[in-house]
Amino acid sequence: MSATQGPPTPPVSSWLTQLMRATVFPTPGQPITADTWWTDAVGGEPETRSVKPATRQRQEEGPFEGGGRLSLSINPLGVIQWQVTPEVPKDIPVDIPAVGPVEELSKPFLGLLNRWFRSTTCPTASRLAFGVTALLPVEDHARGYETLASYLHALKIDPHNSFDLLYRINRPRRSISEIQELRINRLSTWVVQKISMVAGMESDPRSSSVISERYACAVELDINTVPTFTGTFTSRDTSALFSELERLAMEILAKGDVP
Amino acid sequence: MNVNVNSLIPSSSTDVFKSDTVVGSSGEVLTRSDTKLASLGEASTSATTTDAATQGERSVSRSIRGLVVALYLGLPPVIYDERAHASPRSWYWVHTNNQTAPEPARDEVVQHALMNALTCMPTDEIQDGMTLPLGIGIASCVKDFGELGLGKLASLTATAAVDAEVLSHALRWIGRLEDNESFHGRLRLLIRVLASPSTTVRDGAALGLVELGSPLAVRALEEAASNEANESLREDLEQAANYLSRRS
Repeated sequence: MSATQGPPTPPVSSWLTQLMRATVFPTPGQPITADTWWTDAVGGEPETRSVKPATRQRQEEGPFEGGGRLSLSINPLGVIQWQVTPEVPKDIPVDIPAVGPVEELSKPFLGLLNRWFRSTTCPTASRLAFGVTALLPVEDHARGYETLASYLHALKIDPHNSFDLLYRINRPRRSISEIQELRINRLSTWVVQKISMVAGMESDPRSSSVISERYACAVELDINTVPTFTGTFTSRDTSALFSELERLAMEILAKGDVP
Repeated sequence: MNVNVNSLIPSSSTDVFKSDTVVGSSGEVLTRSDTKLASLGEASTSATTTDAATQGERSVSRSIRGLVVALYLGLPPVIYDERAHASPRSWYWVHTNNQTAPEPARDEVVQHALMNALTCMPTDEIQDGMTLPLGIGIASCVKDFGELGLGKLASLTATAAVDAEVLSHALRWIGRLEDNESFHGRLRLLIRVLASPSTTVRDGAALGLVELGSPLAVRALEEAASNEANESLREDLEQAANYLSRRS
């Protein structure tokens, strides 16, 4: 079946953000000096900060636009990640927590990254990744598979007699940037989720019960430059490449699994 | 065939923070706030221990009261009311599916594989330098878990969980492997471990860097040499830096 046949896909604006991240693998051998990064990128101090000096891990957190929670993490290898997830709701939530439409969140998120790239201590990189976990709420299980079928063109799904589908694929592409021979992995993982809301009285755990159920198509996108690239991305390259990675993510949310 | 989907890490994946935790200065465990939801077998009562379960456990650290409800039900809550202390109600979201076999968290799988590799030989054999089984185990971890496995190994070098001599030999194998995809990750690991509190481990990292042969390590080796208190190791670090400089 070609990508142009089958049911139409819902508009991109229907996809809600459960997680959005930018992962930067610094060029090996550089010092990682993260003390001012939050201030440089966000403009204030984080709400929380923790460091683990022995392994040089770091984590900072604070609020982000649209009801999101922003975190900056550095792992023991010096890999850096900026990430937005939903804030914990103030009351029992009616719907699945999300930060809002992916296409609306990506703009301020890229803006934050660009402010960080201009920081004098922002490291050059050898690998970059833009990740999104997005949800598309649907009415029920069957509707979920029917909707998923509009994104997974190579797959024939019986929506009423199929369960627990997990579809993962990488569709690499050549980068349109000026960087010679750079390839980009486009890894996507698709499922339909049944999500139950459980609530109860704190004093009596036995009172807990399912008070609502929701269904959603979910896709986890990991758009990244290949690990075998041996060059170095300058901050200018990095800015342009993240825009390209974001566009590729949006294309998948719009068209589904296409070569 | 029993396939543990959650422990499969595609070689193109970059999600190296999925299971990271950071310990605060006063000992409290602080974590990233991931919002992936927990999984629960729809037709079974077996609570799964997926990535989300690990995240659930981390979320639990925010609220003991949430834990009480969760443990009673055998569920790992992931998103729940943080203000449980201010409200008699607790709540959380769970995923449901038809899976009945508990899956280990990806974190646990990686940790288990690494510890298997690092403890596969008696220490006295390691000291004799016959370390091929260790090398095979380390190569397998790098191949299967990529940057995530390397990150876990970096964390282990900062603890006393593994004998320093074993770690030192493991780091030499890290430098010896022929695998382009993990080259930069291995280089990052070896450079980071130059700051290990153990002289033996620092020595292993320097030898690993020589084996890896990247001029990108020269600056880090020179810096490590200038900070090195052990005279013998300082000379080795300087020699390693000189050797890699000549190769560039």
